[in-house]
Amino acid sequence: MKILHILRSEPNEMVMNFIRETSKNAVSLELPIYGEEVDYDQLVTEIFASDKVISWW
Amino acid sequence: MSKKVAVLIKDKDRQYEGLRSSLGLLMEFHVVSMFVLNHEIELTEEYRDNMEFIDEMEGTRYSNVSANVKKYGFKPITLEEVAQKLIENEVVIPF
Amino acid sequence: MAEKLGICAATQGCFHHVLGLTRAAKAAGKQVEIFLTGEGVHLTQDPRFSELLEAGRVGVCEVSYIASGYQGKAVPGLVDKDFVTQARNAEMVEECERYIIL
Repeated sequence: MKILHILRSEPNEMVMNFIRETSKNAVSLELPIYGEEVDYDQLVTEIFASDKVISWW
Repeated sequence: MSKKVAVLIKDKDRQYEGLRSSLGLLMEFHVVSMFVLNHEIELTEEYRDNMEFIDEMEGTRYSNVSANVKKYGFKPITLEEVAQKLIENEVVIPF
Repeated sequence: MAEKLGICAATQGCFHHVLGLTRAAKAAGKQVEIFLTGEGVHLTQDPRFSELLEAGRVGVCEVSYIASGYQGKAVPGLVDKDFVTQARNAEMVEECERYIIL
């Protein structure tokens, strides 16, 4: 199971805990899309390479 | 094919949109759990009507806020338990 | 059949992400379904909205559009059938291989 966490803003403690717990027993990747240039090609590649995608607040 | 969907609502100003989205998902036969986190809902007439539809459509409403549990019939849940529920759901929508 | 990406845009400031993702997905051979709801309906007023229509299929929550004060205001490139209900979002969840909210 590969899980992609897209971060739309800096994660607070609650979100960090959710990410940690949902990533257990999974290969996980966090991709922030705030405050920096986003490589949308890479983002699309990772979205479709992952089994589950969560776009956090 | 229906999916198991978790809708997370953490801000009061998104409460109604999150509720409407949850109801829309239920009407298309998804299995929906709606989680209201860290705030007490503001019970407008529209919110109450749609909340009742959620129950009629057999959606599940959870909250980690005791006022929502006591006053509005949400099922109690802790943030740790929410995390476990997110693992069980195929689609997670932080609204 | 091409894989589908579903994007639910529910916030006002996400146009650049929606457009960037939609273009990249199209370039990667994916189909893109976009649903604008809540504050996301304001994206219809972005000067670059027509560019989004070139890359993906857009549906707008009619209830949100009216609630945002746009009742009767036409959007170039959108027709009546593009103003939809929350059912469109639920269909995206069902039909799209990947679904994200922005």
